[in-house]
Amino acid sequence: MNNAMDDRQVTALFIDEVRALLRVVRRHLDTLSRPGATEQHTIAIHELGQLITAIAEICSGFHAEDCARLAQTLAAIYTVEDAVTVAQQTNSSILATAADIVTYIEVRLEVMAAHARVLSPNEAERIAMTRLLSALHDASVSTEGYGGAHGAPFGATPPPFVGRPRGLAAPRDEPGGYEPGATRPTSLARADQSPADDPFVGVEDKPVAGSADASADASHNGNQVSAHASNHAGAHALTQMPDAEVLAALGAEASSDLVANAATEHEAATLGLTGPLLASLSEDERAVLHAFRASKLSPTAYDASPEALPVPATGPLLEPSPDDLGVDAATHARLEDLDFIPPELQRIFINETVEDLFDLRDALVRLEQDPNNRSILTEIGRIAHKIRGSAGTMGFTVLEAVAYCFEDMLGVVRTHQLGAAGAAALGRAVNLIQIAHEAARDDREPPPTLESIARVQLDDLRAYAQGSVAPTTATPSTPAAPPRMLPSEAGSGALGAKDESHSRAPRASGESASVLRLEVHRLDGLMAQVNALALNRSSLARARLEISKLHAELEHALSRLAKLSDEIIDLHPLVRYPNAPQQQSRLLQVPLGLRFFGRDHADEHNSPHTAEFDRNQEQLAEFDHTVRALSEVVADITTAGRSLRSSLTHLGQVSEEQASVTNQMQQDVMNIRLVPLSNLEPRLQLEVRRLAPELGKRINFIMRGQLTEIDRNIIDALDEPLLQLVRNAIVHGIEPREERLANGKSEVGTILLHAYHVGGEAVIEVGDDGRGVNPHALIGVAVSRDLIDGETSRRLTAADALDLMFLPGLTTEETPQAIGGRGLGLNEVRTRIERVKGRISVRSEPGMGSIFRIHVPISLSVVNALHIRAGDQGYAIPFSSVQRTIAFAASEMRTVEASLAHAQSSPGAASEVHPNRRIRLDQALAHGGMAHTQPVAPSPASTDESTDGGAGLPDALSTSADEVPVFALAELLGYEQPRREHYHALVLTVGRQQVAVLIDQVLDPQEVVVQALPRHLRRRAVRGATVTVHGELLLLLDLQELVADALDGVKPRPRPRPLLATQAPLSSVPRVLLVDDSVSIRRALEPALSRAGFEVQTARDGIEALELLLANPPQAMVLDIEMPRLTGLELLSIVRGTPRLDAVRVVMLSSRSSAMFQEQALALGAQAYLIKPCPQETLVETIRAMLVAAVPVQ
Amino acid sequence: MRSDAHDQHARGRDDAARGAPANLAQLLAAARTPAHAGMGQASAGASGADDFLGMQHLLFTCADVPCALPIVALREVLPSLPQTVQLPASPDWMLGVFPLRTELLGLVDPAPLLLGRPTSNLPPPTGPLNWSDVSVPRRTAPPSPFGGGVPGELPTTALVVGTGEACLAWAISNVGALTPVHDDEIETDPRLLAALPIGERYVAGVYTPPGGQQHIIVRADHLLHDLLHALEEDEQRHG
Repeated sequence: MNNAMDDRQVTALFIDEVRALLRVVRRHLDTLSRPGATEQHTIAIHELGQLITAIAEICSGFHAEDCARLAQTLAAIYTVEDAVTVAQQTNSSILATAADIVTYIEVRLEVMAAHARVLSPNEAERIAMTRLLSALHDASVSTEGYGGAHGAPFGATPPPFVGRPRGLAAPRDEPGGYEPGATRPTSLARADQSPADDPFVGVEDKPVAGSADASADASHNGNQVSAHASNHAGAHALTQMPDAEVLAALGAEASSDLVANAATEHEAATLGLTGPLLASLSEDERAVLHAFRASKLSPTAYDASPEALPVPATGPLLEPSPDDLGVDAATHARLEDLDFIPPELQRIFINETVEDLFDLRDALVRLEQDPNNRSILTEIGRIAHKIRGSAGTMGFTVLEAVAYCFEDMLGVVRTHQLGAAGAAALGRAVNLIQIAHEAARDDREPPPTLESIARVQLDDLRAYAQGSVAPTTATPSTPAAPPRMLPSEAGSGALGAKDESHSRAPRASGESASVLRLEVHRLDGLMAQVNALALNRSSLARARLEISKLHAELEHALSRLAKLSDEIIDLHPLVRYPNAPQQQSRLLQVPLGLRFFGRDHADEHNSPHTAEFDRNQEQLAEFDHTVRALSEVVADITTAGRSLRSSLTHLGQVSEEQASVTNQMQQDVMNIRLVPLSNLEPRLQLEVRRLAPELGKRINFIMRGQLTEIDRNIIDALDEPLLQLVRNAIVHGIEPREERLANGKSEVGTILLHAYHVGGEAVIEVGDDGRGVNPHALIGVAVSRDLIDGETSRRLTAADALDLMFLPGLTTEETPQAIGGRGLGLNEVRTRIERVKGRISVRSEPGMGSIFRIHVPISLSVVNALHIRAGDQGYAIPFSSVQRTIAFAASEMRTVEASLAHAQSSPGAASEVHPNRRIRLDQALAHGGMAHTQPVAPSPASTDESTDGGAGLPDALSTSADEVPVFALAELLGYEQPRREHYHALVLTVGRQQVAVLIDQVLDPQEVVVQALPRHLRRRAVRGATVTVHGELLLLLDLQELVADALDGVKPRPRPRPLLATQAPLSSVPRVLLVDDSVSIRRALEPALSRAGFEVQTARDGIEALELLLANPPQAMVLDIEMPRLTGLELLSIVRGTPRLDAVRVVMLSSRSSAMFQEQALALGAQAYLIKPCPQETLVETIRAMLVAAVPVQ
Repeated sequence: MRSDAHDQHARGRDDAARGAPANLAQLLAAARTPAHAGMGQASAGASGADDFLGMQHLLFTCADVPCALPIVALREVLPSLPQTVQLPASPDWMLGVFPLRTELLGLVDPAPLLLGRPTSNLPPPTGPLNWSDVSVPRRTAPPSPFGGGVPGELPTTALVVGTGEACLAWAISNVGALTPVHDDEIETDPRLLAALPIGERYVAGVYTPPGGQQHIIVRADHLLHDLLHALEEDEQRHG
C-alpha cells in the first residue's frame, strides 16, 4: 500500500515536472514564432534545447517512450547552435509541429494523471506520434538549404540518456548511430534518406501483434487524447478519430497495384497493414512506421515480460487504482501485467459480439437472396472486421483467427462473385465464429480444430473459386470426415425459407440505433431502488390512510363536542334558575349574551337574598364565560379540521402523483430488463442449419412473435430448453424426406416457434409438422421400464400419456442418436422451465406433429397476485398459478378413508397433510365459484381451441365431475386449519393433478413488487415478499411447490407455540372486535386486549362493525350502545339474526347503567353487560370467560 | 431474593424509561459520532471529550439476564416489537419477518442460543448449537446472580444488529441506559466467564456499573453469525 502510494506520488511528480517544463517550452516556442531580436531567439533556442532534452530524459526514465521519442527528435533540432540551423529552428512549420508535439505530450500526461500511472500509448496515439514525426521530418526537409552535412533528426541517434529505455535508441552499430561518448550529431538529415538509413529502422523488423487497426488501448482511449489535442489540423484530426476511422482515412485511396507487388505485400505484412492502406502512405510515413515498428515502442516490445522492463530507481511503475479501471481489488494485482485484459472489457466485447453475430446472420440471410449485392458484402465485411479486431484486442486469438479466415473468404466471394455458393460458404464460416464466440462466452477453450477447419474452408473456397471444387461443410463436430456438398445445397432453405414477414426488420443502411450497453447488475441495482421506492409508496399510502382516519376521528369528536356544547348551552338557564322554571321559557327566548343583563335588573329588586344572589351571579358569569370559550374552541377546531381536510386533499393529490410516477418508473425500469425473444433466434436458426443437413433433412424454421419480450434472466434460462426442443424436433420430430413424401407431406419439414403474451405470462410454442408421438408407445416404454405400473397405465388419458415423456430417462427412440442424445433431456427441460416459475405441456397427434407449449412469467420482480388470507395471515399467490377460486359449504366436502385417499395419490405421501378430503368442482362452482382462468390467446398451431392453453392440462373445470383432493394452506404451512361452515379454496394444477387448496379469504388481485428475502430467510415455496398499499407484509407463496411437496411426502414443519404472546400464531389467537365511537375508549382498550393475547379489530360504529363481522367473523365483540349510524343494540339485533354470526360472543360496554338497557341487550343475545367505566381486567376476564364457556366455533 | 429481583427489574424499567426508547434510535445515532471521535482522539492523545471514558454500551435485558452491547455493533433500536408475519418452516425462535423501511428483516429471539441449554445438559455451548437439539428456548431456572429481571418476561423491544443482508432484529426484554465502558472496567477473568449463564463464545466480558448489577457484554458478531448460520442451516435441513 505504501509502495503504491509512493508510486503515485512519484508519478505525480513526474507529470508535474514535465508539465512545468512544457509550459516553458511553449513560451519559448511563442517567442520564436514572433519576429524579434536575434539575441532573444538565441536564448530561447538554447533553453529549448536544454528543456526538451530534459523532457526527453525524464520521459525516458519513466518509460513514456512515445513522449521521449518525440522530445528526443525535437531536441535534436534545438540542440544545434549554429547560424545555419537557427533559421530552421524558427521555421513556422517546425514551430507548429513542435507546438503539436508539446500538446501531444501534455495530453498524454493528462491521461496518465487521470490514471495515476504511466501509460503506454494506444494505437491512435501511436499513429498520431508517427504523424508528428513525419510532419517534423517534412518540415525540416522543406527548409531549403538546411540539410546535408549535419544530418537530420531522423537520421540522428538520440542522445545517450541515462536510464534509456530498451531499444529506444538505435543499436550502436547501425548506420547513423554513434558510439558512446561520440560527438552528438548536430545537423539535420537529408530528406531523401532511405528507411534503411534510418537509425530507427531494422532493429526488430518483424510483424507486430497489435496491428495498426487494433482497437483502442483498454486502459484509455484516443478520444481522451483527441479531446485536448491542439488545433493543428493533422494531429488533431488523427487523434480524434477512432483507430478504425484513422485507418479508413489512411486507406481511402488504396491502390491495388501495390498489393499485387510482392515486395509491397511483404512490407505490408511487416507493418501489419493491408495492401491498400500501405499504398496510401507516403514513403516518409512508411519510413516512420518502419522506425516505429523497429523500435521498442511497438506494442509487442512495450508489453514485454516484466523482467525485460527496466525498473526505475523509485521502484516499480505506478499502477492505477482499481477504481480507475473499474475492476475489483483482486483484479488489481493482475493489472501489473500489461497484457492483462480486464474481464469487464471482455464481457462487454462478448455481449457486443452477440449483436454483431445477429447482424452478421441477418446480413447473410439477405445476401442469400441477393448474392451479388455489394453493399451487403460491405456490411458483412465491416461486421467481421470489427469482430476480428476486437477479438484480437481482447485476447481471443482463436476467434480472431477464425474471423480472419472469414474476412479472407469474404474477399474471395467478393472478388470472384461467387453468388449463392459464396453466401452459403460464408454461412458455414460464421458458424465457426459463433462456436469460437460461445467458447469465449463460456470461458472455455474453443475446439482445437476450429482454426484449421476455418483454414480448410478458406482453402476450399479459393479452390472452388478457381476451379469448381465444392467448398467443405466441415464443422467442429465432424472434423475428421467433413462431408462435402455443393454450396447451393448446404443449408439451403434454412435461411432462404426464413419467414421474412416475421423476421426482425434489418436496419436500414446507414441507420444507427442509439444503444446504451448496460451491465445487468447495474440494472438490477436500479430495479432494487425502484422497488424500494414502490414499497415506500406503500408506506406513504398507509400514512395517508392513517391521517385520513385521524381526520375522521377528529370530525367525529368535533361533532360530539359541538353537540355537547349545545347541550350545555341548553342547560344554562336550568342551572341558573333551578327554582324558577316559570322563567325558563322566557329566558330561552333571549340570546345568551343578553340573558344575564336582562334578568339582573329584575332580580335586583325582587330577591331578598342579594348577597347570595350576587355570588350566584358571579358563578353564573363564570359559567357563561366557560360556555363561550367552549363555543370558541368548537369553532377553532372546526376551522382546523377544515384546514386539515384541505391539506389532506392536497397530500392525496401529491401522493397519487407520486404513486403514478413511481408506477411508471417501475414499469420503465422493468421494461429495460425485458429483451425480445429474437435474441435466441440466431442460435436456433444455427441449430437447424447445422443439424438438418447432417441428417439429410430439409427444414424450414419459422419464428413468429420474436418481439415478444421477457425478462432477461428468464430468456437466459430458456435458451437451452428451447434449443433442445428445436433439436428434438429436427432429430425426432421431422421425418426423413422419403417418409414425408410417402405420407403425402411436403419434403420440407417445418418447425414453428411462436411466442405471444397472455396476461402476465409469455407463451412460447415450439411445434413441428413431423411424425408426432404415439402415446401408447410412451405408455409401453414407461411400463417396460417400471416407471409406472400396469394399473396406472390403464387409467392414463392420452394427455397423461404424453406427459410421461417428461419423466427422466424415457424415450421411444430405440437407438439414441448421437445428435439428439446430446444436450438436455425433456425432464431437465421441464426442470429448468419450472425453475423460472414456468410450466411446459405437450400436445401431439401421431402423423401430424407435436407442439410443446411453455408458459413463463414475463418478469419475476413484478407479479400479478391474488391477495388471500389463511390462518389469519395474508399471503400473495401468483395469479398465473391459480385456475379458479371456489366457495362451498363444509357439507359439500367429502371425507374419504385415509387408505383410499392414499392410494389415489402418489405413493409416499405423508398422512399428516395428505388430504382425505375431496370436493366435486362442478358442485362447488354451482355454489358461487369464481373463474380465475386467464384468457388465452388462440394458438395458430393448436387444433384444439377449447383448451385452457396447456395441452397437458385437464379439460375445462366446469365440465369436470371428478372429485379433487383438498389441501388446507394452513396445514401445508404447518399451522392448524380451523373448522368452518363455509370454505374458500383455490383450484390449481400440480403436475397433472388438479387440487383445491383451502384458504380463509380471497381478496382482490393486485400487481405486487416482489422483494427477495435475505438469504437466511429464504424458504422453500416462498418466492419473496411484498408490502401492500395498506402496509401489510405478504409472503409470495409458490402453491404448486407446497402441494407438490405434500404429494411427495414432505411433511410441513409443525409450527410450535411461539415464544411471544404478541407473536402467537394468529390462527390460535381469539379475535375480538371492539366497537365504540369513542376514539379514546378504542385507544385505551385496544392495547389492553392485545396485551391480553387477543387479536383486536376496531370499528367506529355499527355499520363499520357489521362489514368486519361479515368479512371475517371474530370470536368475540365488545359493543358500545350509543353510536352513530347504527347503534349497538341495532347491530346486536342484526348479528343475532344472522346464522353465520351465531358463534360471535358479545359483551356490551356502555355508560348506560339502567336495567332497561341491560335487559334489552341480554334479551337480544348479548352474553355480558359491563358499565363504563370498567376496569380493563374485568373486561379481559369477561371475554375469556365467555370464550371458555362458548361452544367451539364451527 | 424475589424482592431484590423485583426492585432490580423496576430499576431496569426506570432505565428503559430514562432511555426513552422512542428517541433511542436518534440518541444512539448521536452517540456513535462522539464514540468514534473519542476513540480517535484517545488514540491521538487528544481530550476533546473530557467525559469520555470508553466505548458507549447499551444496557439491556435479554430474558432475565442483564447484558450490554457496544453501540457500534448496533444499527438501530426499535422502540417496540414490530408486527411480523410468520415464515413457514422456521425454528420457533424465528419470530417472523417484518419490513423495516425498504428492507425485510427477521425478528429472532436470541435467548435460546444465548441462554438455552441442550436437553442433554451439556455444558454451556462454546460454538454454534445444533438448534434442533435445543428444547429449552427460555430460561426457567431461578434468576441468576447477575439477573434482576423476571424470568419469563416477554420481549418488548428489538435491537437491529448487522449490516446489509446479514442483519437481524433481536427481541429483548427491555432497553436500559447508554453507558460509557472503559476497557479497564471489563472483567475477563476466565473463571468468571465460565460461570456465566451464557456460552463463552458470546461473552466479551462482564461490566459492573458503580453500585449496579453485573452486565454481560455480548459478542454481537458471534451471536449474529450463529443465528444467521442456524437459520440457513435450518432451511437446508428442512427446506
